[in-house]
Amino acid sequence: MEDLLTYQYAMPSSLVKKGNAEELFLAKYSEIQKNTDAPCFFWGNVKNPFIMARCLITLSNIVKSSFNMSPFQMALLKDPIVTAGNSCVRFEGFSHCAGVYARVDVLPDGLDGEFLENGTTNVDFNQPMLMALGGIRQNENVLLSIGQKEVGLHLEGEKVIERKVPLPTKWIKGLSTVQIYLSKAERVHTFNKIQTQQLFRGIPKGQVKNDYYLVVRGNTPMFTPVKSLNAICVGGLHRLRLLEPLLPYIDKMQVFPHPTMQSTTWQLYFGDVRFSFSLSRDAWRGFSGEGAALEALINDVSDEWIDALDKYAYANQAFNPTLFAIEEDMAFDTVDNLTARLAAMGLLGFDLDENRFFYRRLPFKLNRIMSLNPRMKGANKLIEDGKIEIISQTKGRVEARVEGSGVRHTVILDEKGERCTCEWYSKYQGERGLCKHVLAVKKLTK
Amino acid sequence: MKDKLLEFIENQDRNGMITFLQALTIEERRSLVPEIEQYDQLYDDDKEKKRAPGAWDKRAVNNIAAFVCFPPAEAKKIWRWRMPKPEELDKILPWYCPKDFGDYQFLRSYEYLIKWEQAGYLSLTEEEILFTLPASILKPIPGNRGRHYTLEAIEKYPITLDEHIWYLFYAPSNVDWADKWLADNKDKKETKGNWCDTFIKYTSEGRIDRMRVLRESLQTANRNFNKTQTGWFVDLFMALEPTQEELLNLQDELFSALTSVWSKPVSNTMKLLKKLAADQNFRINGFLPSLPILLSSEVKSVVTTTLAVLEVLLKKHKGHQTEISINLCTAFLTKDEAVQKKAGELLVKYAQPTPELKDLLATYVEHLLMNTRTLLKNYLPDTEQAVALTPEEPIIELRKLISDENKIPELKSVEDFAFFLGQAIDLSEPFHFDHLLNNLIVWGNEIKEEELVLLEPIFQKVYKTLGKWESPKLDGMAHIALTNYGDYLIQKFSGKLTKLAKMKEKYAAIELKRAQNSKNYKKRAVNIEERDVSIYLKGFHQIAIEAVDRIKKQHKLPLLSTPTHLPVWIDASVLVERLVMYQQQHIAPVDMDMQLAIQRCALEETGEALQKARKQLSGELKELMIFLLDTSAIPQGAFAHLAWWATVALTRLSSQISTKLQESEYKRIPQECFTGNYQWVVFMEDYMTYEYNPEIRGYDSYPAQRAKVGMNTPKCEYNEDEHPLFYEYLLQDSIQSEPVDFLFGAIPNNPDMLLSQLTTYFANCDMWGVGEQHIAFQVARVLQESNTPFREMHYFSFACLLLGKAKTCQDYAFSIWLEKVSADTLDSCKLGKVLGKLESLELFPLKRLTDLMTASMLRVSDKHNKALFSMIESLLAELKPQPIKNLKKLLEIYKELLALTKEKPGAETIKQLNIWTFESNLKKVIKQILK
Repeated sequence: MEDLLTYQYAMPSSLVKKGNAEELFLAKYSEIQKNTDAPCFFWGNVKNPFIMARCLITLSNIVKSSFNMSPFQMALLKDPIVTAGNSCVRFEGFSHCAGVYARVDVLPDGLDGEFLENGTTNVDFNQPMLMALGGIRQNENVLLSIGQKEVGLHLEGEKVIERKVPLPTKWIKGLSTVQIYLSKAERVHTFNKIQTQQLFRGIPKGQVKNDYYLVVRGNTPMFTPVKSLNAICVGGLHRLRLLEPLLPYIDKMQVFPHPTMQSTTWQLYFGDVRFSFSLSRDAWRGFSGEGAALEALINDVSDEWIDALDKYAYANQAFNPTLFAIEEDMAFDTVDNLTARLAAMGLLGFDLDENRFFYRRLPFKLNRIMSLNPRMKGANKLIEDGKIEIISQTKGRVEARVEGSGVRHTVILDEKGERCTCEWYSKYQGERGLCKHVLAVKKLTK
Repeated sequence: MKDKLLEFIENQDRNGMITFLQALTIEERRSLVPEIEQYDQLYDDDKEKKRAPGAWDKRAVNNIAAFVCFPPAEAKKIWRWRMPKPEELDKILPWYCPKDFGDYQFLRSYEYLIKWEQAGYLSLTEEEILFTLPASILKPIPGNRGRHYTLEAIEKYPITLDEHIWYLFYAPSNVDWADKWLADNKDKKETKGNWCDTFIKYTSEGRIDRMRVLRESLQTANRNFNKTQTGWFVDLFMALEPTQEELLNLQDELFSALTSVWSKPVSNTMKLLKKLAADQNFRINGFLPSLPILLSSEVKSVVTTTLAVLEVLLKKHKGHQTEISINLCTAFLTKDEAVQKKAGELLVKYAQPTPELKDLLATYVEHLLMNTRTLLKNYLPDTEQAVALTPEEPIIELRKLISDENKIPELKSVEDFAFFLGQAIDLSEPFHFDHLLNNLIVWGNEIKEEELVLLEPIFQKVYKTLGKWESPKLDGMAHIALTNYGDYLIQKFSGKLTKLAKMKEKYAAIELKRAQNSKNYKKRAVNIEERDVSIYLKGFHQIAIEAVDRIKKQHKLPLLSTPTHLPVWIDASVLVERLVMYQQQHIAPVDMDMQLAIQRCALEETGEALQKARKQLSGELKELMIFLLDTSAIPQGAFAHLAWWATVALTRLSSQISTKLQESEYKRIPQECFTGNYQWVVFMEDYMTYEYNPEIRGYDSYPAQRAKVGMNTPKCEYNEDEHPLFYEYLLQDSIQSEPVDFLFGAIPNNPDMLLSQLTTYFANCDMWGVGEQHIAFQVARVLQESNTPFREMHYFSFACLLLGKAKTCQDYAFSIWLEKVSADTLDSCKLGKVLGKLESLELFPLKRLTDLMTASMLRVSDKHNKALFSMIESLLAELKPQPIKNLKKLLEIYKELLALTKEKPGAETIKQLNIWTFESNLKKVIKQILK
């Protein structure tokens, strides 16, 4: 039977009038809640509540959207997660199909309040609250409360909100994988509001099946189906339309493609609020299945490190791997790839503007995250069953045979990279992460 | 007991069976299971019995027994159509209700589900209610396939109206479908009523809360419903005819509906707000934040209604004039003259030309039409005059056919060969097939015994693909060539390839079984020469046969036709080198391989290759290559291989060879194939059209006319006995369904005939399906990659792409236009003429082109404006005296271009305009043009 994830909220999120101000209360829940958790992560004023509200509505639309799933699957919505700490608040979510990732960052200057605790949590996004968000006007006074500041407010006997959804495997996997893509992306374009609006007007109506390319001709950015040098490739272009309601309010937009165009990130700026929007390579491809994180998971990360990270870092704090290695007395060669490994485990997020990882532990049990990579599981099984034969291992080259179903696959690791004779490799040529055969050989010969 | 069971079945006695089963103990029921199963099996096995009269009913009685007698775990698996009907279950459930009855796969009907839930037989989920409730107002009419409207089911239990009916507002359901079904129902009298009527009835009776229905209907605009269902709730809202007071109470929901992703709720809400705007209780502060979204909407009606609302608000709320004026600028993103005019007028009337407003407007200057600029003269910054009317010229990269960027890498080792085969067997790139064959020749015999393991997964994949029902790509030629190679290896390394031998054996068994089951089954594991292939593949087939033969003979000479550069070009120098190799080894080129190589030769910067050919080749091949590579060369020498000379003439579009050809069998090839001067025509075709008539539940037919396009140039007629050319093979069959990129990849230099066939096909059906749009996309790609000046068929295809339905293809065509105009390689007058010819009979809606012009083609650069101007002038000259739809918009664009380019209308255009000057809707714009 499919695993269930149960959201348990003490009460529903809501936007309520309190004196002269409105209070946006976000109910939180995490299955890895720390015992020392204060009831509230953040409580204070939001300087641009109108923009934050619009961004949260868009985020909820992204979470609700799906570009390759049935309406019934879509009805089982996942709640976004929030990370509060280090003077800023980040809301993250994924489309249901895990092909679109979005994050709203409310930066330090956009908040005026107290961080009573730091951490990451699921927050209840219910329809009445979203409706109410739509009513927030510019220059309104809005208090944001992530969690309940005064425990006393929670009435005894009041019904706990409980919502069961199938464990959002793709979602959780995508949340960790996308950070690795983000860390490799580089800023290529900056467009002003009018350029951006004009650009989006060129998106064809309906579902776009062909790849489109973002090019700049003269001073005008445009989408074209014609491939050209230096053009940014965008698959499933129609997904960008999710951003349209925000465009009239932006100061600028920046575009960050992945070096091999496996994803694109579109970052909208509204003063102290930022909206990041990442698209997978194609509408039918979720970040979850891309396997970018797989290589990072070859080496195990010890529990002590995770505990150390929990103790040492606090939410949204920039992650410095060198410092971490010194603190934990690790060999520096172990630090190589450490960030990717921790990101793959859901412990780090990536900030494109700062160009660095930040600590953010996904509010899901670690064993859930680790159990979500079937290719990694397959690789471990190959090793356990002794199906790998290392034919030769010299400096710079490994050749191995891996027993497959009815045939033997050949894996070669050399200066050309990794190659395997299996169907997965033949089809994707390594673009969608390593196959289980390569993973197993790498793990065995590391 | 068993006899009794069979008796009820044979008598088709459903009620009798129910009574009989009720009287049995659980053990007795279980003892009947083998009999029930056997009876079912009998019907499955015996086709005669299955078709016998009454068989269906007999089985239905057996199904009742199955439900009652099977152990629950088995009964749960029974398919829905083998379960008793709901009315039968209704009789059974009071005395036999299995645990988890809700999980059984019976036919869901709300009427029974609700009854059974109330009786405690099952518990309903929200999904089940949503799935069944919409159809609950449709009751089947006995003896008729129709249904009639009834509220019986939903009025039976209070929970339906108290709770279940509200679910319809929260999650997707078939509620819109149920209404549509009733609308199409033939017995109108009986079926009066639908879900909309139902809501009207219950709200007016006070049975359900009217305000809640109104509120929830509005909120569905943002609940992620699909377009149709969102639209249905808008219709419901309107059908309830909300009063002014109700609307005022629903302002929050109305403002929220303005952020819907669908346009219907937005445009509808704006219509309502237009009525409310003047009301003193209208909450302007709630509305204004939505302005940026509304005014930047791509739906014109939303922008115009918003402007109308703003006009009211500007008049009434002086305190908000500045805020509104600033927002008004957003409307200038729309390049529609009426919208810009209205927004400009409002600005002039209500806003002061403050420095802030001037600065803001300055950012929109590029988007302002000439009339708007004049209107807003005082609002534009003083430096506006210095602002260029059009942006700078876009920089376009020029591509070369042969460069390092598009070079196809060569294999370096047996390992590379093995990995390449795994990739190429999917044939995802047009060059994969050729490289697969060529690498088999070059590397196939390099493999050593210990390396054979590398190939195991490839052969497994090949046999797996052949074992599927669908024919592999290119009639399985690549796969069969590989199986032939596998057979060769088995023989060569006798006894060492046990896994491959087993795969072969296993596959042979599958084929044997298939051949036994179907007389028409054609074996796939054959020698390549025995494989029957489609006509268009015959040229490739000959090459594949040659490849397998060379492997067997261990002859490593590469094929001539293997592409060196993407997508399928052959570097002319490399081709000459290959031919030199052939001459040195005294090997005659294979006919089809030679023809394909000629067809794919990149005829750009051929100097070096020409020099090599002159120096290193001899005889006919030398003369042939000179004729191919030197455009001024005249064919000379002995024409021993006339087919090759004909292919060269076709490839470089030279009619110089035609005198020789006219005396030969190739005189059958239409002259246009050598010149590119194809003839085509647009005409009106009579046809019978069909329209659905709900009264008769059938279609009415009546004669009508439609515009069509056709070719005057005849198709290449091929005759197998007359030594067809590769080119001729390729253009046979119903090529529309074939891999188009692969076909173009065989004749990249002269795709004109293929362009004519494919364009006629997708133009006449207006790219109606995914397949046609894919073809059009491939045609666009070919035009874009073409480095030679456009010929007649290029212009024809290009014009159809600009006017066609698929936006992606139109975008592609626009990019081509941009590049070609920048590079001065497009004849705008010619393009305009072709567009005009197509529009003279309105083969495509002109609106598609005018929309593209407004959104993208206008104001790219001065050069592009001039090109567009010339294009429109030629287009107008082709139109008939009777104005076509949307001509006004085209003339407005023409007028804008006159202002932008400072040109004067041409004499031909003036003549045309004078003809249309009496048309009421064109009069004004023509006057402005001719002033």
